[in-house]
Amino acid sequence: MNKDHIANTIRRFRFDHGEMTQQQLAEIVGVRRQTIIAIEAGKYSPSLPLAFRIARAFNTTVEEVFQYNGNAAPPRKDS
Amino acid sequence: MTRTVYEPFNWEKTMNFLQKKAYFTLVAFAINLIAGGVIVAVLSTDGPRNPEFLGLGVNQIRGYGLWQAVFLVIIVLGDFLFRKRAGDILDERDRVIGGKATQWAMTAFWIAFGVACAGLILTLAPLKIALPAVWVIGPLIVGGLVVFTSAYSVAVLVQYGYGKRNE
Repeated sequence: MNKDHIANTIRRFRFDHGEMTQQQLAEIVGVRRQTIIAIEAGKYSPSLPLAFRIARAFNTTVEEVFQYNGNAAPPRKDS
Repeated sequence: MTRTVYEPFNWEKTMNFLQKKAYFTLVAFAINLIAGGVIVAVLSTDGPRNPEFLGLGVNQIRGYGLWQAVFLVIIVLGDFLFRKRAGDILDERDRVIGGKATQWAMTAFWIAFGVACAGLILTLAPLKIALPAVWVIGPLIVGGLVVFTSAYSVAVLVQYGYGKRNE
């Protein structure tokens, strides 16, 4: 199981966009409402394409919607 | 002040067809297992002991065969009743859950198959029987399918959170 946690601010963005419902967001990005619920609750990490679609639904960037809280390994230096 | 309104649980809106099929399969398997157990119990008691109980004497090959056929019917019926229909969405999370469930089911199948083979060897070896009877193939195949399908269904329900709304 991946211990990395990806937080998100989808709920805040939904309310900032005219109190968009989970169903409306699900229809815009092409998934089921249960998937939006799971993502909002942090129980499912979306794929990159879905993350981009969600960000575009709110006219913002992926980093604004999703925050990575894991311990990322530093980039490898081959030289 | 906001007031949270809780809607009543809605089977149709909350679950997708994978969850419905999983519940159907597990419940139908359980009923069939209990029914088989009752028949075995009736046949093994001194009360209404009758090797031709309802014509389904489970200590006979045809009884086993019929019992196993019901499992196959349940699997096919589940696929038919809860197939993907027009308008059903199968998104990336559903596909991830389906993929993981298949892995869990394959693991359960190979464990069960190994235990069944070991059981056969341990049963037949003391009797100095080199080859099992041909009819053993049927229960092995159907048993494998039942283990696979059950493990798949359990894995699907566990990953979806038993149909909770997660809200």
